[in-house]
Amino acid sequence: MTRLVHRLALTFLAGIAAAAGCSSSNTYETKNARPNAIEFDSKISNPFLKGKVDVTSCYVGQADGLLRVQANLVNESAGNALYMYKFTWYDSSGLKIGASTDAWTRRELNGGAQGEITALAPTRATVDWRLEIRPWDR
Amino acid sequence: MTRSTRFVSSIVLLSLLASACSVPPKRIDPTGPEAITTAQLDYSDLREWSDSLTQEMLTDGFLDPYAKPVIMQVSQVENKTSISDINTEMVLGRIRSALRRDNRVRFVATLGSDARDESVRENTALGNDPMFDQSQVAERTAQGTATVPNLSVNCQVLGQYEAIKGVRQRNYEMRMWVVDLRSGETVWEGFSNTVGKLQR
Repeated sequence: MTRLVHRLALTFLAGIAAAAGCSSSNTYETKNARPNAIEFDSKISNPFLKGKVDVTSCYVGQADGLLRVQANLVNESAGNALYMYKFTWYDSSGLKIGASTDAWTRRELNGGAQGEITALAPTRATVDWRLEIRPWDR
Repeated sequence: MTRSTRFVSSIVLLSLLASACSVPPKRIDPTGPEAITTAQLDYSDLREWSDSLTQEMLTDGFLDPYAKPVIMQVSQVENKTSISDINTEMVLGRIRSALRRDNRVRFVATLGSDARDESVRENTALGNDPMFDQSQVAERTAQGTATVPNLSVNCQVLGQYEAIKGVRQRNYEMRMWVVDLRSGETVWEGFSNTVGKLQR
């Protein structure tokens, strides 16, 4: 009886793992792609989310004199991750710029996949930024 | 107390309790996790469109050859979806506001189809009105002084619908293009992120 229960449980778990694996992605890219990432600091208060959506590197550039930021993401889990992100921008005095720019944007990242989120600063006075990521369940 | 009186009293008591328990409205972050997702276009979708289109426009560099500020007008805004009331002003207004920052672009309010101000033309007629100070009329009204735009902005909201075995998918995107009014050439064209909605 116990053996039957174990076998059933194992079949069930294997089924879940197979179903999750079916939706995950395979990725191919240049070796040592995207060098020159900037250093960044992080504060993780949701380790479960980090397991599904994590920032691996960040890049900054300029477009029309505006600060441009790209965060590269990875989903190390087998299942899809629904998340939302928001950039907040600051001037050289550390003051927040433009309340009208801080909306959450919703995204999905396949299991095992890599992704990018990009944003453009609202003004030329912007010198610094902060990125927040949180789960989205609908 | 008769049985019917007891029954009516119970109903009244229950409805009073139900109304007391109803959840009062509260303020939320309109793009945050509590924001609802519908089969049509939501506020979050429109905010995402304005951000993605602004980013596309500013990273393209098509404004570089023009003297700053570049003068623009909004020519046409067309809704080609089956949704009757899409708030395109919410998207366009944010794009305009983002482009105007740092004096990159200025929009005229005298021409086009968005954020017009008829008072500019109305004020040009004050020269014949004895009620107004004529020395101020000459100085402050647009008598041969209104700015002519360099570029015009056009946009369309597009929708594509699919259904299979009771599952419906709706895809929405915003197409935008900018035309040089002197040459007639389209100098920029882009699409917003596509918003896909699935309903079972």
